[in-house]
Amino acid sequence: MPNTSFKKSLLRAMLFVAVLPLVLVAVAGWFSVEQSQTQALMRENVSYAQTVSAQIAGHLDRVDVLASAYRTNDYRQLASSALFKGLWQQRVDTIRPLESMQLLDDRGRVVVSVVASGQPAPGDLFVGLDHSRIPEFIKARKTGQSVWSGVHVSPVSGEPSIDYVFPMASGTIVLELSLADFRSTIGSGMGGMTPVIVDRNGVVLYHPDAAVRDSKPNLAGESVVRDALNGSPGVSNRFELNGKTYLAGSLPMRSTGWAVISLRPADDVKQVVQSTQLGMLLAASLAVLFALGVASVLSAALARPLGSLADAVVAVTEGDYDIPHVDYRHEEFRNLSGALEEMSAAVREREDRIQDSAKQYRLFVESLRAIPYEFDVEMNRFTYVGPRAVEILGYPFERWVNLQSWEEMIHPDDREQAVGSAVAAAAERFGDRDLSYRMIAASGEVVPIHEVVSMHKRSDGSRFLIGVLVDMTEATQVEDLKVAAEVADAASQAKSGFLAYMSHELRTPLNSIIGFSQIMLDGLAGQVSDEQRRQLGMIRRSGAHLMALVNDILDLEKIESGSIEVSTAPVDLGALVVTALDAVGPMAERKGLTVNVSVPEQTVVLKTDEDKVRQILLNLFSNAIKYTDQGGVTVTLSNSVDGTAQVLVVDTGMGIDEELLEEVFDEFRIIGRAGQASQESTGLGLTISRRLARLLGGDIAVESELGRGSVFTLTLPLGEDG
Amino acid sequence: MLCTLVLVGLTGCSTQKTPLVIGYLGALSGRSSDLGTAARDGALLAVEQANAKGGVGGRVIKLVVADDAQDPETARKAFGTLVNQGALAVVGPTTSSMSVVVTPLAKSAGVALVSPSTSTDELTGKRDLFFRVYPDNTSAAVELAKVVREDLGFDSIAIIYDLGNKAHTVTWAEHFSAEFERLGGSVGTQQAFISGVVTAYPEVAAKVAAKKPPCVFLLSNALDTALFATLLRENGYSGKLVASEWSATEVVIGYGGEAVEGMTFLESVDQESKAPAFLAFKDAFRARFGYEAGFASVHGFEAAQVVLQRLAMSPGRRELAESLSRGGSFDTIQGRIRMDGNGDVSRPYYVRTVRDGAFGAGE
Repeated sequence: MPNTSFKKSLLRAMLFVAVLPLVLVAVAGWFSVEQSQTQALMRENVSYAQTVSAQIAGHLDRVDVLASAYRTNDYRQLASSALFKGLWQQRVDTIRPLESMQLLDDRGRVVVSVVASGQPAPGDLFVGLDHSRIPEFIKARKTGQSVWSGVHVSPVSGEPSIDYVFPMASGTIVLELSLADFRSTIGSGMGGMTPVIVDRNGVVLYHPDAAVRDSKPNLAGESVVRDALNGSPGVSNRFELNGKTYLAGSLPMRSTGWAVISLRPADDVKQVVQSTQLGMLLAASLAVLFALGVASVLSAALARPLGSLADAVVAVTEGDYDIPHVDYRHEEFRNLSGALEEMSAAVREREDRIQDSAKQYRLFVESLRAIPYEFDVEMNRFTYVGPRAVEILGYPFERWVNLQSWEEMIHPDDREQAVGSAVAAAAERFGDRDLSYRMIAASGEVVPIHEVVSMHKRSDGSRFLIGVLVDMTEATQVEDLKVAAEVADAASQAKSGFLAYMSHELRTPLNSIIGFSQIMLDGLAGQVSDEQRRQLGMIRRSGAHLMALVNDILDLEKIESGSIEVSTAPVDLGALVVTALDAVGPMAERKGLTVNVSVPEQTVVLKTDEDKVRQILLNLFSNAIKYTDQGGVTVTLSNSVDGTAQVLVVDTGMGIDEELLEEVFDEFRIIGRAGQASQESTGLGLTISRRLARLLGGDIAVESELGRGSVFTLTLPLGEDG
Repeated sequence: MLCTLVLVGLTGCSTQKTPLVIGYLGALSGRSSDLGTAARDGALLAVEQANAKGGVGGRVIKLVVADDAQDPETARKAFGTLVNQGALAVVGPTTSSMSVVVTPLAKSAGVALVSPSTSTDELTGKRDLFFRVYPDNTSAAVELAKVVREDLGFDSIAIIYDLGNKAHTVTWAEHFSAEFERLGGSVGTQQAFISGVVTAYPEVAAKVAAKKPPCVFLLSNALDTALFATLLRENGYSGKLVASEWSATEVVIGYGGEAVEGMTFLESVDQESKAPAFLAFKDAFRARFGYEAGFASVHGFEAAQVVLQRLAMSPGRRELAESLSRGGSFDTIQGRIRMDGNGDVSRPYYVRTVRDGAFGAGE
């Protein structure tokens, strides 16, 4: 596709539309100008011929008028009239071109002869001459019409002359006219036109140029002359005279049978036509230039929005999404601009997303420990190997040459399969292939690899492979862990199931032991001796202890397995603390301990599980009392600013060794003394409490000094409405 | 009145070479202008026909025309102009008087003159670069004397001649008389007049009429011949009238009318000829100029032809003059004519008589 600009095409189209009609009109005008100009000039020619003809005719008509006065006369009357002769003498003397008048009798004999004064022969000389043989006289008498003679040299004057023979009723008048006088009246032409007069034979009678006159050319060969001599006007644009071409218009002069021709040099005509044509051409050229100018401006103006839109699109392709908003006048451009802005925004958004996703992908790939590659099948060469190849397999890049290089890196046992898969991939089938095999790193380490590869074809038909070698080491580890986790999970599940089963199996007889022993203690099974009472008490306590142990173990199990449900509801922590303390009050009283509680004025409300918090508090309080022999227990509730509530349980008990501080939360760990206390404690209390606290989003911390006492702090989040 | 004429070949066969210039000198104005213009028309036609055939030696002929106005000074000047315009030869002059005036100039300029109609004896037998296709007076006079004496059978005759054209008429009359008397006739009265001095005409006519000669020879131009014929008749003369070719034109009939009936003329042109060349010429002339070719046109044509024929071989002034000076025979529309080295010709004569207002052959 040839490179053209829209602006140029638009310009061309506009020019075409503007210029084509101009050109057509100019061409049509060019030719019509020639024709119309020529015709106009021709008309001028004819008009001039008419003028000249009229001039001559004027003389001739005058002569005719003079003679006609005598139409009905008899020559005898006139011959005897002195007036007649005198009148005519005056006439031939004053009227040019009149040279002589002769009055003839019936037989053609001259009876009166008057010749212009100054002529060589006096008029009377001619009296008596017999003119009866003159052809014009014969014709005039025969037809009774006046006759004009042809041009002849006058024997009297020696000048070219014509005769007018006018028959009267009786007798004839013959008037002779000198052509020399004619010539002086006709002149030499005007307006570039030349008058030419030819006689009835076509021989030139008059031409302004004496040389032409004297050469007496016969122009009867010219069509216009022939036409005029035949009595009809003629026009021609190819009149030839002495080697030059003329525009000619001719008219007949009926009286004498002459023709009057008006000549205009064809070159003049050509000049006029050409100058008009040039003028037209100039005007057309100016119009074209004007059109060019206007079209240039217009096309530029119309194409500018496209240009700026194109620039905007280019900006978008270069990544500049900030298209300045331009208000276009034309609807189409407005629409286009709006669409472009929307598209730009969409592209930007997509690009952002792609960038994010690419970033993600890159991070993923980089974190994935993979080697992307490109392998040219036809040339059997690696054309690209990813940057982590060295890191992952330890071989330098130079090592990655061809199929064989790669094969050598594969674990011998997996080679055959891997190569076979590669060959299949390179076969004439698109689509991905993936295969897992082991490669041997440079260090000798086995690296599990998962390969995904696909074959592509270039436009020239050559094939190349694109693939990724993924280091599956971690994945394998993860896999192992997954397996282990599954095993653990299964074990845990099994354990839960066992415990649940066992707890039920254990509880049932324990309930029997506890229950029946109680019944017997209550004397409901008969009289009980003191020794029996003591032993039953021991039985019942042991049973209760076992039951507590089983419950705690089950609780712990429930917590650990996550099958415990936590319900949240607003809890007044202060009230809860007080209630829980009341529950352990009697125990403290029995040991003679003081119990203090400090609760803030403002109600501390938590969104938490009330039962579980109570359980924790009961545990902490009972522990404090249990391990304090003297002094007391102080419980403080505070609302701390970081969105938590704290319950501090301070005792003045035996304290805990610093090294064993954290172990208090361990399972089955009873720190303290052996003996009775150990019988009362399952060793799971704190474990469970901490687990519960953590379950509720908080924790339990301990501070202690051996021999002085301990501080157990329960921290709980306030929840959403804290 | 001096007019110059330039005629360029009217054909498409014009060559790139320069044209060959021929001059024409004749009476184009004044009394004898009818003959002068007629001869010029004949020469024009000859040149136009030659150019139509491609000119001479491929070169166009240019006819340059000048008027001698029957005035010696004008004639000399006109001749000079023709020479300056490069005329290789000049057709003309048409009258004896002018021929006599111009011939010395021709000799000194080295430009040949070929006259269509000069008859003066003064130029006979001279190596003077004056050539003519027209017989001189002597031969005409001798012939007419023979016709009148032997054919018409008159034994006595009167002569009226125009002194205004002395060079033509005086020797004419002398030779005629001499021959007529030699043949046994007698010349009665000889009356001269001067053309234009019309007051003398009636007296001359009366004188001659009174003598009642059986035949009167009018040696004058056409108009004067017609006038004298009329005057003679008015004076009661009823005898035979004869005249020279000089007045053998339509004018003599037009102006003479009844008076010239039966007038016999001696002509150098056989107007009755049926020769194809002559008929072709007559037709061509009529078509070209619109009137009948008279003797002047015929001879003008012939004179130009003589020049053109020699020009083919001698396209230079000197060569042409030399060629013409060798004399020779020429093909003309009236057949072959022989011109001697002096430029004189002898030609047959023809007799025509006016009958019923028109020229007819014979006496």
